[in-house]
Amino acid sequence: MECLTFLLGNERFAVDILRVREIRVWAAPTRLPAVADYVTGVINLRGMIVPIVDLRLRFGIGDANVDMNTVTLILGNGEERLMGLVVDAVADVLVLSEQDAVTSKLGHSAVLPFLQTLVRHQRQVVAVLDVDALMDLHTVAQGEGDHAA
Amino acid sequence: MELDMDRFRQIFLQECAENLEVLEAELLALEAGLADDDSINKVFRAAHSIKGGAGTFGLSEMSRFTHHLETLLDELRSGQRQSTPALVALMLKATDVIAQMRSDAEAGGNGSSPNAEDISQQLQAALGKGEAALPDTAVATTATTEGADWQLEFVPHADMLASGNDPVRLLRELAELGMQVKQCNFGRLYDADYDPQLCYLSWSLTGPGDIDESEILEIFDWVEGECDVNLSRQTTASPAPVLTDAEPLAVTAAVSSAQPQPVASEPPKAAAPARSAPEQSIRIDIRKIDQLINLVGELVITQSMLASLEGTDGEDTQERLARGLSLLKSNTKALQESVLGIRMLPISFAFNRFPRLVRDISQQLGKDVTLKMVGEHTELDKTVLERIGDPLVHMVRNALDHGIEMPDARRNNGKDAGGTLTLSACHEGGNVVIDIEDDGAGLDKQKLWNKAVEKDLAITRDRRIDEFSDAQIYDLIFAPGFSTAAAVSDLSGRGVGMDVVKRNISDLGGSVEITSKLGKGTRFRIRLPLTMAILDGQLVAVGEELFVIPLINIVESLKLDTDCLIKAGGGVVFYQLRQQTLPVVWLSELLGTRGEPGPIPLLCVVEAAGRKLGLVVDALLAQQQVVIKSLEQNFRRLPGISGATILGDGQVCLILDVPGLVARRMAQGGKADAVTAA
Repeated sequence: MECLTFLLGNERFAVDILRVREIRVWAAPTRLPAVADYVTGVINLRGMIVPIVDLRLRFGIGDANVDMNTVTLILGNGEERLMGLVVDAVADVLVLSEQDAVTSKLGHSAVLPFLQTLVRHQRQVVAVLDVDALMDLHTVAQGEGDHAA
Repeated sequence: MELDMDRFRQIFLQECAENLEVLEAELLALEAGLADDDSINKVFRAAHSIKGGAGTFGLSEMSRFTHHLETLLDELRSGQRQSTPALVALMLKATDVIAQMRSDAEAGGNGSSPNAEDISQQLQAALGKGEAALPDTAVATTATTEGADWQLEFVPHADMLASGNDPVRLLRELAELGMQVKQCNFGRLYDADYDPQLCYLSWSLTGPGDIDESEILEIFDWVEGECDVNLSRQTTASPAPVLTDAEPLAVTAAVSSAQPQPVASEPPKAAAPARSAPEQSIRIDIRKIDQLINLVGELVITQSMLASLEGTDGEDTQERLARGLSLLKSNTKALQESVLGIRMLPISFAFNRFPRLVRDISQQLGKDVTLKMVGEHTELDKTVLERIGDPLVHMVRNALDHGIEMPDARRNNGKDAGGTLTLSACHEGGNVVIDIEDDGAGLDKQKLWNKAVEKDLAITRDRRIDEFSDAQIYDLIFAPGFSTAAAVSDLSGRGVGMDVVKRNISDLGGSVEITSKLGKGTRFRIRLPLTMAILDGQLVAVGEELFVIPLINIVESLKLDTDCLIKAGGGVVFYQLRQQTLPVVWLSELLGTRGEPGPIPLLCVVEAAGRKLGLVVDALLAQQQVVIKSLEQNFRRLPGISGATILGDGQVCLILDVPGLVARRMAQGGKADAVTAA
């Protein structure tokens, strides 16, 4: 599986690259009322209104600062619903195989529900995230990941 | 080659639909005695072209069937035969069969209809033996071997009669479909306390298997919750469970095949499932196209005018640029309006079905009702038009069933025996207003109120009827608790599913308003936006954020005078605006916006569903047309927000859902309501 890896703070995560529709420079979203605090708002993506989730807030990793490297990954699900994820920086593309899988469940508790698998790559362990779980509006709406504080 | 045929087939199907409309309209005119000499010719031509087209496109059954109708019409046209009500009724039924065939063909079938054989025989009988031998169309249809026979258990609840529903009427309707009573069960009759006002009987019926399931269920539409109905196919499997009124009227049809396959019935009004989604298309007035082409031409000229300025820096460049830009602005606006105009269709597309519907229903009910239609040429957006159809049908049916009284009752009240139902449409500002008005019995406020108390609706708790305005009491009809419930006899179940009607209309951004006079009639006024794509909006600033308030909802805007604020208990705040006391909401609190409030708070008075609400904002900015974008497409609905739009700088801006805010404020308001109503 080819994965796009990215950083939240110092931790390395990955998602299936086939689900990444585009990578955008961070732009200030329009805030929404009555949503979980990690849903930072909506942006205009060529006329479509796309919700933005700050993954750093959702997982409670690092501080949600914006710098030159901050990007928004636009992910798509099967039915072409779109969602943006704000991350600290994108890194390289890795080809991961199942043989590299690590069984022990490490990582932050807020990450666990979204963890597809942990993979050892060279000297690092990369957490591969389940895009469908990330994009599940039910969990987004309920604000399950309010561990940010 | 194959593709081309497909396209022509589509055109044929569309023309066929138009011809069917002509057939129906002219036959109805013929029946009402309003037809002129030309009518028969029109009907004949329509039938003739359907037959020809059907033959060309290999829909042989449709062609054969229409041939009989055409022959009959030819005899009428040439004067060999006189038109009679029975004959016209038969021809209308034949029209229905052709329509079914057309839908079948559209869905990818070979153009067949389950009723074709039966009606075809009746047509042939009429042709062969002349009108004297015309079979009574109400006679039960002969059973065919197609499919297993229907078994129907019909068990009215004891109190069904009290709601004005007569089982005999239902049995008669079932007989028209071809269902026959097999057995009348009167076991319950021997109960110790016999009350002559209750119904103790129940019936078992059978019918040929080729009757459409939805047709049978539709008959029980009005008595949902007042009887138990168990419809099944004759089968060796265990009988389907009897449904109780706690469940919605659904049916398990066990077909006597190797694997009994339970089929949940669809809601009765749903059409037969389409085998393939027909291509969406729209027929446009050629003048609209011409206008578009002209406008595009203008735009090109403006563009070349602006292009010619490139690189010049003469004295008048600035002025010419300004002129070019203003031209561009007006061209763009005209083009936008024309493009939107393409989606606009006359409301007659929705109204067309009503002459037939009103005829059929009023005949069924034994009432004499004249339908008047006004303003059929009023145009509105195709999407709105498609989605308003079902609510309109529902309201028209209600008006016929419950609004307009039986002829005798009308005469006793000194009215004409025949009732009138008026459907009218007109433009009012940026809205379409549709009125459904009957001259029937009107709504009885006290009865509505009693009903609401009995149902224990939240609004009635610890309150008295005189605390409410007429409109608020009529609005009780739309309360969910009123639907499906056993109706109060003479004021009736106007409430059957009216909550759904109201919700559909609200979803379109519209509103319904009821006015009624006891004994004189009732009017439902529906207000709808012309289109769902664009709205006129007022940009407002709240803190450092911007929002759009639909201009249609804004009554006035004024400086907030803190002396006029009235603080009630529980954080509820009102504003004394002249004689009115309005509830007030601070948008900054409601929406949790960031940034400092402006120096001068403004009060934006909005109105929805006849109720006003004050919204406190920090600044009023530009008024502009905004293109509505959906939040739900990628996210979800948010309370208080109806959608989003994109401003000139590319930023997303949220559009406030005024009806939602007002409704929410009223629901929270509790006692606040009483103050405003007083």
